[in-house]
Amino acid sequence: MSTPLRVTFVGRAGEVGHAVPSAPVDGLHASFVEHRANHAQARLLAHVAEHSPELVVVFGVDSVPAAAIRAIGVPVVAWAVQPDRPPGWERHPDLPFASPAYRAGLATAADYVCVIDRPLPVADELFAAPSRRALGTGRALVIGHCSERNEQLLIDSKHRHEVLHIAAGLQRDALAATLAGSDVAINVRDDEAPGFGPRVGLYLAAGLLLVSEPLHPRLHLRPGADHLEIRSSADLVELLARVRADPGEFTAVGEAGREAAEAFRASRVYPQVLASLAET
Amino acid sequence: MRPRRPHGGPLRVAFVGQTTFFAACALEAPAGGLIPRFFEFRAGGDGEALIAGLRDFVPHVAVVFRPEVVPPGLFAELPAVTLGFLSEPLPRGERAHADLQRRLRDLRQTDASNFDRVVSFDPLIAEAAGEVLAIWRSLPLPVADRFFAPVAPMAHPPRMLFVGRSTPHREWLLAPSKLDHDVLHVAFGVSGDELVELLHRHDVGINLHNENYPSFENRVSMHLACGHLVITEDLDPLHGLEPGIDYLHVDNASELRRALQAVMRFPRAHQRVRIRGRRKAEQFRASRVYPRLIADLLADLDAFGSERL
Repeated sequence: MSTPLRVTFVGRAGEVGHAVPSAPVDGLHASFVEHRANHAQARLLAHVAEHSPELVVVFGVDSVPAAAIRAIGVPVVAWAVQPDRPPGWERHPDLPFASPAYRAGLATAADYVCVIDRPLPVADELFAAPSRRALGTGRALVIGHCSERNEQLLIDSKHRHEVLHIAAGLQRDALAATLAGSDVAINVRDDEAPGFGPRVGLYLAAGLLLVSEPLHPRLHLRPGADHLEIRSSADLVELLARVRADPGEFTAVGEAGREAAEAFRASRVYPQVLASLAET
Repeated sequence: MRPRRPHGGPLRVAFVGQTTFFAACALEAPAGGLIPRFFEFRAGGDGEALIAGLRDFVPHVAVVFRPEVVPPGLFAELPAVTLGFLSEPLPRGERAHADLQRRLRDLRQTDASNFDRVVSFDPLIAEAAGEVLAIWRSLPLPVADRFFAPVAPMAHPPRMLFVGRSTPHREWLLAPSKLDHDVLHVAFGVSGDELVELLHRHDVGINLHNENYPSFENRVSMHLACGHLVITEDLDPLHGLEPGIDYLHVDNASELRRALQAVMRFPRAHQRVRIRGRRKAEQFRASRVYPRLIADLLADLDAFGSERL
């Protein structure tokens, strides 16, 4: 049996922590280093070195300085993730993003061995049993910051249905408990740009009925079969009303969504995607 | 006919409002001769269902949060004393923020004849509200008893919480703190036992206004009741609280960030502030406020009557 690959993931736990397994999975020994925009490069390098990785995966191409990538003595790959930040942070004078010098020093795709552009995997421990409790026993959940656009889509549903919106800071046990207390997940975009959303796999894995704006790309997911599609605030209000009125109508969709989530399982995705990169 | 007030016996009091926001402000268990029950009602809600529920309970008094969302004439035949409780900020002068002007427009939809008396959560909005309703008293929204807890030792690291919808003003103030720390921001949807548990799992409560205008949000008193260190924007009115003694005051994003950094580095530094704040929170305790308020209400009605009935 071969030795597990030691991989250190770098990112922010509140945004990508759900993608990092907390225990060894098939062929992979994962560790995590919390890195924020205001953290010093030396801190990042020291924490990465503590784990003696064979491969480093950075979540978000431009989330670390280019110089840090060059200083890490093992292959470094980026996993493309849009940062989960409210609009306007890039102009905030108290944040590093406002500094041209800071932005100029950030890594680009060229600094990495490669950039992996696929949805975030989901740590195995966050997968619900396929027989998770039935629809109709929880509430709808939204995780992610607010923007004018997503708030316009959500506001009517918030006032007519039971909707929980966590804007920031949800992780570890609190994340698992929040998922367990919900039965529907809502995936809406910040802006008009088409996208997939960083938590689609998480919601499906947790056994929630996914209600989403059109996913782009759809990958293997099929609207109407393993998730439900909405295009407006009114769609969302009506769909949640239908789910609450007759949850049984959507049981099969929820079960198919949970099955589709297997494609995001960390122990399946990482060995397949990362094994060859460590030898680069 | 209103149910006859029992001589020295308990009074049934209905609390009416959107559970998510107002269950935390109601009396939840019998206290001071009051027997409470909460009735869910929100803007656009089913008025007939509410009336049916109230008729089953036969309240002596109905305390109604956000009277502006009650349909005209809904309480015309309700045989109970009705007390409206204004909970939303309003303009305090001619040059008011657009958000406050919108809220005043909402208030103008109120049917004043639904209510025997109206209380405002803020004395400084009484003038604006007075255009629409006669304000009888002003007092801060009370805090349900189950929120009250002793001041617990700070966790390591301290756990920080902001409960409130996201607005550009709030996000601007929170941005550096969210970058530095794991501030849990619950934007919508937590209430009841879950809110109590959530609050009791945290040590620091942040209060930010909706927009850039002063107010006194009930989350301040709620966090104080939980024994939290409260860090807030300028409060106006203060309702008896003292900045620097009962809570920490910040003016901008940098100050909020620095205050949280100080808490992270020296978690016990503000222990006395937490203790003082927790003591002051007793003035907001629902089981203390409502018996007095309702006794005053009934005495006032006995003395001066009501235009409602």
